[in-house]
Amino acid sequence: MNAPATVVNADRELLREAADTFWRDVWKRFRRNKVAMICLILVAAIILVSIFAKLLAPYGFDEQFVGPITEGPSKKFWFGTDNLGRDLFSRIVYGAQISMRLAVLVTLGTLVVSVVLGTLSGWFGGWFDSVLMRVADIFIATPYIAMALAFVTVFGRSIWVIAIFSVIRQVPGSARGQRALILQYKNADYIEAARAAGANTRRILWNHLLPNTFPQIVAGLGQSIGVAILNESAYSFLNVGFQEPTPSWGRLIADSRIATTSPDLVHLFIFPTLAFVITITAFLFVSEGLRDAADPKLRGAR
Amino acid sequence: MRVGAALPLSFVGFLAALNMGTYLIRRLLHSLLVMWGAISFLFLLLWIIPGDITTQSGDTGRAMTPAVRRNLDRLYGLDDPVWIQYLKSLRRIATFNFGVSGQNRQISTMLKESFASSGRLAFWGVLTYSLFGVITGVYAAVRRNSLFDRASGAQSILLNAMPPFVMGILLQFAFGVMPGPLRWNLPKWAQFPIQWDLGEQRWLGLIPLGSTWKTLLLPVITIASVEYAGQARGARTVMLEVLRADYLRTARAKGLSDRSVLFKHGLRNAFIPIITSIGLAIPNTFGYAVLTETVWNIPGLGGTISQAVGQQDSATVLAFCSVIVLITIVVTLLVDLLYGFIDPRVKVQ
Repeated sequence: MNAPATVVNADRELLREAADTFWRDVWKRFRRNKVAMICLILVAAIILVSIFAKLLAPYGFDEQFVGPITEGPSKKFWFGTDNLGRDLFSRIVYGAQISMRLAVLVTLGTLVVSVVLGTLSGWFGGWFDSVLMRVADIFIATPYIAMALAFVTVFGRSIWVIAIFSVIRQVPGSARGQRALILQYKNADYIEAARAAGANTRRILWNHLLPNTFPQIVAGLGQSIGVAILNESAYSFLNVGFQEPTPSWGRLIADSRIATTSPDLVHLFIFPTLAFVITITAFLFVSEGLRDAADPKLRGAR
Repeated sequence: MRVGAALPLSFVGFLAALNMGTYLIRRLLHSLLVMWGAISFLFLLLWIIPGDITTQSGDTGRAMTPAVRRNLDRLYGLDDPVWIQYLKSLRRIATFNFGVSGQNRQISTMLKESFASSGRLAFWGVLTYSLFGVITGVYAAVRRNSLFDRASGAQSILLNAMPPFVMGILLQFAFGVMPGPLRWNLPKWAQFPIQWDLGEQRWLGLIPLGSTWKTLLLPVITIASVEYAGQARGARTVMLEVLRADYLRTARAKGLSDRSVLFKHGLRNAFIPIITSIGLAIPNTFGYAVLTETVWNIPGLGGTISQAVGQQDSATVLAFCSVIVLITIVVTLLVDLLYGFIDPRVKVQ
């Protein structure tokens, strides 16, 4: 029993080292990508803002009449005030917190569910796979606006309901992606080798198959966060997301539609939209940078 | 298009595949299953919502006498047990005999009206993003790492971060008619109406006549922008792969001109995955249509659905949703078949 154990340990050591160098490699390539690096800093800043929203925001997000009604940017109110005299800057800062909280919830939920379902579906195939894929088809085919409306009417508009609904909407797509990856690697030589060496299914999945899909999963995280924020804003815009006075960005942008009627209200549109677009752009660029850095096809190129 | 030349050959191959019939039947059954699932799921959701269509029908202040209640229940078929209601809904959809909405209008008429707007929007949207997306993507791939390539890459990400409602409001700011000092001094041809008014056109008339194109242009840009970005990226990836392929090197080695290599050998091979990705994007277009219609105040499918869900008018919701699902399924099926026609290598599974 002793000798194989040491072999396995040495094996594990080697694997860990390989993994280490892989991520170090990824980081090295990522660092060379200037746009991605700038966006990474932006992402870090946004995360910090959302964590320390309470310290950064001079007013509460629902504190009314702290200033004049719908005034443009001034020294006291950096981004101006809205139609209830609330400080727009504070609302946007709190909006970052809400967006990030939701996005992290949704991304984690989507990640866990889709990796589990996608992996099992791809690995086992058969009726399990068919049933799951048909269910995914059904969820994709159902118009989401009807689904969302019914959901919030039945379960309310708490962050959990919106998160669960968003997960339901994102899982079919990403589970399919994971399934495709598993199908691609399933018949690889190293899996064959592992099986020949006597590894059981759990070991093959856990130690051999999943680690190989890891780069794609990590690269997908940034995108998933961006998509989650985008989806939430769409729900808020269609009035099936967060409710007043919750300052979600989508809500702020939706409310700013009145700005098209009067030039005095332009700040209501510009600042939330800028925050929104910059945040999503940053996440998408980071995600793309990661994907480029981790893509084994591009390894060694350039 | 040169694809035409490949058609007869692939058609023969296609017919030669004897399991074609079974394939089609299986696909149709699969589509029916998905449609049934989506409808049942929606029925379930609408059923879970507390209350029913009668609770939302306006005169909530008045106490309902039992007789009125009974009449309403009979009118909307609510006196049946749930499973009968469910079966009746299925029958209504299966026979395309949708019945009457909560607003006491023929649902088929409502569908026609909404489709006049949504259909036109989606049609021009799909056309726009397919055409411009493919052109941008292919050009970016051919001029890889050029300024154009990089700019279009950045532009794709930026457009991805701008959902239709942001794009819509932005366009309204830029080209819409704005009061006050912020109004640009745009020449008349660059000013566009914010109101959706297609006038007295027949609903199948897809081609915008007269000044209607001006009404259509900005909403079409709004609906197409996100998918345009996606298609451009997709076409670029596909084209890069094709450009790397051996047969292209062979074509070049034969001494063919750049143009012939690109158009005859490159584009034709890139065409297959590009068509697939456009086909996959079309259902998404209806998702974006809801947002576009909201931001431009267009009376379309999405708006009607959300209104009907609010009124718990399940007959209308199910009818509209099933039409959207049907369109999705038909488009996917068509793309699949087209795929087989274009690519002789495709073995019908």
